[in-house]
Amino acid sequence: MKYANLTLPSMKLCFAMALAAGMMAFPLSTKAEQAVQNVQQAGVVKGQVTDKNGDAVIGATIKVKNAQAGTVTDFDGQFSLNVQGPGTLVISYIGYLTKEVPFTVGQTLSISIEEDATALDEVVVVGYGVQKKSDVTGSVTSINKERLSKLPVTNVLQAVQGAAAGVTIQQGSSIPGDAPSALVRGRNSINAGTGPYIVVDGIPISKSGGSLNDINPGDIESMEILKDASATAIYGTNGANGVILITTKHGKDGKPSISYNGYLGIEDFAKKLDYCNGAQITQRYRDYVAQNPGETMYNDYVKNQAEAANQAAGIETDWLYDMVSQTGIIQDHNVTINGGAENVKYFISGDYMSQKGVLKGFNYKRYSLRMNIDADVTNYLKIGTNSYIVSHNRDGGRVNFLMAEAMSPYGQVYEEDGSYKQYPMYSETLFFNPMQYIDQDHERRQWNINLNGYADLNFGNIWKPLEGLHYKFNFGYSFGPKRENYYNGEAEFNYSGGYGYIFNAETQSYTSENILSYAKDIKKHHFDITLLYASSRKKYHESKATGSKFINDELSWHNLGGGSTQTSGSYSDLYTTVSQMGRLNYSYDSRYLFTFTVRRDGSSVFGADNKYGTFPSVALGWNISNEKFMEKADWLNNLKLRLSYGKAGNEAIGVYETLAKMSNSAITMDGASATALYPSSRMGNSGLGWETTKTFNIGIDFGILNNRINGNIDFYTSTTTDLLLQRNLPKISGYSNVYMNMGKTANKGLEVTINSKNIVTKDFTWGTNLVWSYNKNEIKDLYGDEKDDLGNRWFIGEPISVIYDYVMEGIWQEDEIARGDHLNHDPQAQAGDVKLADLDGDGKITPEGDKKIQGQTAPKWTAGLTNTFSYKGFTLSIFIQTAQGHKRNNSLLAMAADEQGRRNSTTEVGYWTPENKSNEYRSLSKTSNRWGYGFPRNAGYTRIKDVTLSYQFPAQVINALHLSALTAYVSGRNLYTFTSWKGWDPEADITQRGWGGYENNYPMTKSFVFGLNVTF
Amino acid sequence: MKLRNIIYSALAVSALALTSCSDSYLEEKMYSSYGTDVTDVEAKVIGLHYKYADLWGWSDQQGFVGCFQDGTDVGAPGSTQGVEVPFYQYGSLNAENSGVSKLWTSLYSIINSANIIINTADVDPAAKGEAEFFRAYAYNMLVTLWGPVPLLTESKAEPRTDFTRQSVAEIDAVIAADLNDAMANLPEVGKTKTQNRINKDCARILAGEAFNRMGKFQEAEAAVTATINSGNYKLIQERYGKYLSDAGDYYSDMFRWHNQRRSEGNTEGIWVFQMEYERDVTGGTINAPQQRRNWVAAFHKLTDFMQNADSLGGRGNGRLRLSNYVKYGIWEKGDIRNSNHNIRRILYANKPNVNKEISVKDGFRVDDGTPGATKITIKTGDRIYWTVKDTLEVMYDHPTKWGGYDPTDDFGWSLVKDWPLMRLADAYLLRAEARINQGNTAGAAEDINVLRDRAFKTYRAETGNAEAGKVTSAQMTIDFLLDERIRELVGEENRRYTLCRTGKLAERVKMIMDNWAEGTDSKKITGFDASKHCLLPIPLSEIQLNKDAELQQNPGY
Repeated sequence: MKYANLTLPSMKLCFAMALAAGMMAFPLSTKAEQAVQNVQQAGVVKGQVTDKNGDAVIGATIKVKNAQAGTVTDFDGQFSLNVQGPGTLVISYIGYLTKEVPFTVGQTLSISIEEDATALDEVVVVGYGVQKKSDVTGSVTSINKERLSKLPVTNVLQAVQGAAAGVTIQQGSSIPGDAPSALVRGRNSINAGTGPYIVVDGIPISKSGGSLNDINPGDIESMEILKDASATAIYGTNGANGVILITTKHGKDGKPSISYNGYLGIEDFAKKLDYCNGAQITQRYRDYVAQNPGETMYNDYVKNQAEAANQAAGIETDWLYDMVSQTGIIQDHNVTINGGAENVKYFISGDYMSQKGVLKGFNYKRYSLRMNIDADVTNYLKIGTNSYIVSHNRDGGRVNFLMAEAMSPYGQVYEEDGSYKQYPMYSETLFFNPMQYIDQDHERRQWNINLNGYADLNFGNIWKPLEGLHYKFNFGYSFGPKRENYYNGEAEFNYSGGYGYIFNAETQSYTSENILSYAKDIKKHHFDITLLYASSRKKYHESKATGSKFINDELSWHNLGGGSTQTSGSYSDLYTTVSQMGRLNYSYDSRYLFTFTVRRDGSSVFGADNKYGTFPSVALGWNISNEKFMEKADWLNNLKLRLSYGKAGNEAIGVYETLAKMSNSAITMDGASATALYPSSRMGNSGLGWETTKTFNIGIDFGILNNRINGNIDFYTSTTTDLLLQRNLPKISGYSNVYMNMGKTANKGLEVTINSKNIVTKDFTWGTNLVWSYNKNEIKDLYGDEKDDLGNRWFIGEPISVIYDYVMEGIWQEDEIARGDHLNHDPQAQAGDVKLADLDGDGKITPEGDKKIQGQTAPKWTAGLTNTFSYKGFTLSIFIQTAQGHKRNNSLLAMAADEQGRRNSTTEVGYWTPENKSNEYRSLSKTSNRWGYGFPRNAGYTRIKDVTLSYQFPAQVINALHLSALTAYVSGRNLYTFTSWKGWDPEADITQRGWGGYENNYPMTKSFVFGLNVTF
Repeated sequence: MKLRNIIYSALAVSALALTSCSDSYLEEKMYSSYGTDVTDVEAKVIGLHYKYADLWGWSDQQGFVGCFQDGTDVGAPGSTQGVEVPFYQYGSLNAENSGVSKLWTSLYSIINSANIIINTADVDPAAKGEAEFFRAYAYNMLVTLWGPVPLLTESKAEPRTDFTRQSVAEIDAVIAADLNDAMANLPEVGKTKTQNRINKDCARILAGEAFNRMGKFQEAEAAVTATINSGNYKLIQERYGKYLSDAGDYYSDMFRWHNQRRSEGNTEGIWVFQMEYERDVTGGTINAPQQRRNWVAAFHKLTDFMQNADSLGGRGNGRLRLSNYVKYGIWEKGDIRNSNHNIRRILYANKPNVNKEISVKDGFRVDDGTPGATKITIKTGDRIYWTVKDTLEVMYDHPTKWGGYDPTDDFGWSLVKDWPLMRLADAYLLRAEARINQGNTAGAAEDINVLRDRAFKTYRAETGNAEAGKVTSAQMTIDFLLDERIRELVGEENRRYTLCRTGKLAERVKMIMDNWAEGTDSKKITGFDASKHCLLPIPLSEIQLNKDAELQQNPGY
């Protein structure tokens, strides 16, 4: 036995490594030996299952331990089961404790099962401590743990999308390694940051230079989202936009347990748009030339000289789906070791994630190592660490998606010497070869080294009368270097002498927290008190350098000094905070709950007189179901009413906004560089102070029919005042804008979460989870005079971000122009132009009179619906997510008018010609959209987001393989989208050429993965 | 023992954290920006040059250059970018045009920077004079193009939304005072810290423009006379500099890259705004000046025959053409300013190994088989032909003043040559204008003849006709002067500004529409309303943001 004990872990480790190294060779076939079974006398075991009141329990699951046999109880709670011999029965029922009862063949059992009090007394993390769920007074959402595993997500927020009420996640970019954005309960702030505050293992990663990308989703044990003022007030300064608390896995007592979790899959475009083929582009060119006097064709078929040869030879290139794209591959391999020896528990996790994007060159690799160790140094002192190192690698020259969209199928890919032709549609030089950067030497690296530690002193174990008193010291240090280097060589870019670029940045931050807590029960009274003193500091530094005109391309960016010209630049800043917090929880008999919190925060970003803000909150809870008068309501298992009101602060502006700054640039004077100084376009404001959000929340938690249906409903209303508003100024003063504390916004919302076990039988269960949230956002006031700010597009009574534009009525038709309909409407209009509504009826289109609010850019409501079906070892989970009621400008429709006929475009968007009198699409004329209408369109969508089928291998197989658990699954993501949106995807950020970030256009992707979770 | 140590050290660390409670812990220290209290005036003055470069080197809207030429008597649209379209299709000019707001915003930004310097206590008078020059420049441009505008003479870092328009007279008083101060206190040419800095004569030329606009003709005449009489400048009448072995003439030498500065032999330049190749000198180009890409035709598209070359001035984009009036209406035979080196009308194949047969009819290339066409074979060095359609973008008569080419940057996104902003010829033109307005036509004719003597020098020598190009006092009218400004300064001057300054925009636009209209409908000037378009609209966002007072829009917008 000793021998076995020694070797087994190492065998397991080897096995884990083998799995990690090669998922492809799924090693199921390695062992198939059956455990030898003794032949025993078969027979029947019978019995009845009752609850503590002696009532029959219907539908309880009865199973023989370590065997396949099983059944469910009938209407009388009776069961009968064929067995092979004596053994142990496992009785389980939702909401009740699982019970094991030994039996012999032919025995009739009478089994009583007990309610699982902990189902309600599940512990949730609430910040600076944990609380029994039944005692929580604030609005806290826990993320279903099932969503944290078995999904091929690289960032945990991707798993939260649609799965938590009141949390809006948007995946604007699907570029491998890009994080989605999160918004809790609508936008409070107009200009200041609106993302939630993220805390991992007690240490904030927001504002420390880290991001959720640094956290391996597989390492996450639990995730809680704090939403109302009572819950967030303990994070005072940072709580106004909600708080996401993440707790990573920790070691458990006992033997080391090694697990391997991994998946491997492919990615593809979620939707493939069709683009013009050769014949279509010829037609498009001809129509463009016909509609634009002065424009010419190169010959009868193509517009540009470089297209002529391929056209004549009949060669067409599929730039999008052949040249720039590929089958994406995503894989993740995670090995964890979890265990504990005497007084020490550990959890160690190593993860490798790799994503090869659907566009060439968009790669992402992440390597991470986490060590969570907890040690009981003595019976009164516990110390531990939650530390991790993560490395991100986004190297690679990248193709340009927009350019691939724009290319004519007749464009020349290569020069005669085999290099990429810089302008495949030459003499058209607006659009360059989308492959041009593919061989670029480009490194994008980022690391985060996080060393966190704590010491927890339990005074009760030092001196008995102090029982319940704890002091905890939490310290987090994070070092986050980042760099980007690239080189544009002479050969690739026709860029004589080349150009090299190096960027380095580093963030060093620390957080220290002193937490004193005291808990005491006196009869039915329970108190707990938490006091906090904390400070944090973040120092950022960056430097960049360039070199150009090298002798040759050999050294790439590795020796910028080798170029004949260099430039350099650097920047540093410092951010500090100090905080004090106190919290009192009081409950009486688990019926009446009360929480009072006050936090005082100081931040360096504010003016000298306004550094500190104080944020109190109060909350009440009433566990109605614990009242005597509710005892008769058997159908009701849980009913709790929650009320809270409080203030939270938001300081989310950058550093140095209180100070007046000069900008500096270089300019040459007689051939030498000189320093030019001029005032920055943003005015400094030394009076800046806290932005404050007050939230009222009323919520109900309920569970009925043995908790088969449970959930919660929350209604909230919040008001934010003293907004940190970036106010645009008339530029007459020489300044463009200034941050000010002014204005008022409000949010109202309703959130519903319902979990239901629709069908529960022995082999088959069907559960449904519905999450629905609605938010109404409104600007209440801006400058104290209740006037709109048209210049900034802020309107009293409207949501913060609205689309304010002309109204499109259709397209001007030839007969209308011939009749002169346009003369008293839009006299410049030509047939094929966008026809805008003359809203003020003054006979012309003017920006002053004919624009109106067309809708909001944030969804009015979002929902997620998960249906989970289990049959024996199989589980099928289908998750559908929707976001509705918002508009976005459609960049494909709004393509610059003078580019329309000079580039390829999707055939999903048509165009007007005298023959094809569209009333939806404009002509290809350069002036077809002379008013710059932005084409706002409904961006609502419903997505089949995730479908996961998993299989939990039965005990025989697991035992035969010497494993503890084995689950295999296949999962598909973004499988189908229902939407009226024209173009790629309503959620994906796709911008026009020349607009910010257009190089980063990337399609929405779908993926299919196969995964394994193995515990040895 | 060991345990106690851990506890003590933990407490010690937390105690350390507690000490961070001191007030200085939250104080903000800027590591990487100067505050506005920085005392270095020199860098702030250079900042004014930077702001100027940032305005006229604007590339966000590549057609910006055309806003000031299209829809006047000199410019006609080529392959337009968009921002300039409402400047000839006037019906669509509105208060949201980004070219209008760029100019407005940049001018006020210059004013703010200048105000900081001017109001610095005990500031060096030369630095103050330079700031006053830029402030006068900005206000003069503002009142010329917008009429009454808000007047600020101090920089205040407080959010204001109650601006109102001040009368032109009030602003003119500030301009006049600034210019008088600048003319008195700025250094003489050659005495500035670097040769591109503002000298007395820059202020005098600006004063000539501003005083002529204000009707202070005597002051205008006096200002530029000081420059003419200073003896510091000479009109270029002989070839000079580094291109002596290239084809060219003495007039074109002034506009060649590396030949424009006083130190490079240009005795005529008063304000030459310096650019350097960004890849050689940091800060060489500010933003990405688009003048070449606007003014020069896209003849690189004649790929059968042409390639970019130093001698041709690099790659153009054909956005801005010359009006028919400039091409066909204003030239006398023998004027060097109209030579093929200065207004390029003819091209010779410069690609190696050209040998191509084409069909030509009436001086243009036509499809093979066109009746009446003759077939000719073109070889490298031969004169080439293009189609009629090509004249809208690919090749048209264009001024060469903005040509510039570096073979390591064939695409040429930015123009990197110096900008000719003020030169001695302008002093004569401004004095002639002041003299015409004072009735001194003989004096005006004298000034114009100085320029004509230079322009016709070669022709007179070749023909022996000493009177060629001479003007008489009878010819001296403002219209003649405006034509002469075209002949001398086309491409260099902001024509919209000149026509607004002289009150001639409406007349000149009518003349073009009536007599010199473009052949293609979409390139014609349309929608011009004399009661509206002689002033620009105040940017709508400025009116909307200025919520505590009405910033009245100009009539018609």
